[in-house]
Amino acid sequence: MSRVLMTGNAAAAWGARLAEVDYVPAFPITPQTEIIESLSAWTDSGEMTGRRVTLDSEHSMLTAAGAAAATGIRVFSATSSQGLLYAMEMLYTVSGWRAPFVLVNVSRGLSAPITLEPDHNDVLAARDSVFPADPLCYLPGGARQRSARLPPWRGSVGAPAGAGQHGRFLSILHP
Amino acid sequence: MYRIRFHGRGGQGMKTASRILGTAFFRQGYEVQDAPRYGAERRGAPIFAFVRAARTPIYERGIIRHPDLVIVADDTLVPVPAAGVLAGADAHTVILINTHETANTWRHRLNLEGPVLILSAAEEVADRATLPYVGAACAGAAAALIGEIPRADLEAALHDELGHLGQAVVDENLRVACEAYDYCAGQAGIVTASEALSAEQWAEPEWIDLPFEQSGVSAPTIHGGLTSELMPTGSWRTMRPEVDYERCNRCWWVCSTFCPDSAIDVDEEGYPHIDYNHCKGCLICVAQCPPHAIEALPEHGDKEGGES
Repeated sequence: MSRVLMTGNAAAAWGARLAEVDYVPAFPITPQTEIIESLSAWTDSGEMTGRRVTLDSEHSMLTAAGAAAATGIRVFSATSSQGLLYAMEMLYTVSGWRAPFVLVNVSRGLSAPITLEPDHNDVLAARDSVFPADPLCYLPGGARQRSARLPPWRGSVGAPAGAGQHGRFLSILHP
Repeated sequence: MYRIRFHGRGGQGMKTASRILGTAFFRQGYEVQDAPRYGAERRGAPIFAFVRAARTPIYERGIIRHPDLVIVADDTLVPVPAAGVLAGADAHTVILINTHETANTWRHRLNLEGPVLILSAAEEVADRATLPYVGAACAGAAAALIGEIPRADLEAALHDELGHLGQAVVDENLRVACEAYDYCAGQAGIVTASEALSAEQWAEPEWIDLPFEQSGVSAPTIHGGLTSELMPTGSWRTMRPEVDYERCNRCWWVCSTFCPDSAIDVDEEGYPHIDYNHCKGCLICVAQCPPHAIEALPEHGDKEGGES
């Protein structure tokens, strides 16, 4: 086994790639952007066969993710901060569909004022939505996030899973 | 644990420098963190990036408050309080400044207790933010001063981080990084690791009770107004707009209206005057001026224009 140095965002993207996800609905927001950028590059180059679609909002993104997951395919998406809040209504809705998919939230503080600093208030706002299924998903090292990405599909979880990573200091960190 | 902070301006490659150094440490078997401190960075604005490296897992998070090594790619940042170049520096901290001045000048000017070293500034160039390969020079110098990173690992790390940009970019960065490495090799090991922080060192903060006051008394800046005037954003500028008053047709409004920073005033005769303390050099006025009466000149180049 070899050790590889990578950012938390890269690790999350690799997790999705290695899981051979079928569908990635996306909407850009800092600091998770690199995850979707990586997946876009891989789908464009054919290294990933899944379909990546940009939606008009995080609300639509999460709706699409839930609907796609309900068909039985593997779905992955990512967001941060206000994006998670924009998706909040569907966050609590799709969790009831018992359709498993993975949503990565790269934590970032909330407005107002607009901030790019890291804190966990975005994921705390989603506390009871089933998504932050396991607080241990706040892993000490991004490299270990790959394994964290996989279980929700592999097991019979039967509910969406969120996996958090601390924005800024992990997402852009070589952990 | 080693704690290294790189200070520069947006565009000078401080994030890249931190990644190269981080990867070089990693190749030596270290546990590594490296990250830029993001905010509203843009070209010319102060930015810093940091690296932690240790032989054991690193549990510290967040920005480095007590650095073992501070590298300053752009000496105009030192007097900018928001850049925080000297934050947490003490007698243990090695400070390396990319400058034309001497180490003694900086030591006395800043009243520094710790070692001050100089990275001979790259030749003056027209556009300060493109100071050629200063990021690679900073990474190379840091690797040498730490004394734990063989030159081969620096080179391999640089390949890892810049390889996607093509061989020509790698070669030029390698040349500069290795020059800086060799230049600093005589001081190898001057940067020493300091203890990892532990929870046992935690001490209750010395809280100071503040009496409740009206906001105008307790926090006058909240309603102070015009505080952005105190921010000398003119230092971010790499290109400077200059008005050719012979050509200006005194339209009264175009440049001053388009200026996103309200840095252009129009006098009673209709001539614009640029506030260079706050003009960031975005050059929107240059693009908008109907008679092309505003010219863009390199901030640090020949005032008369010359080559640009």
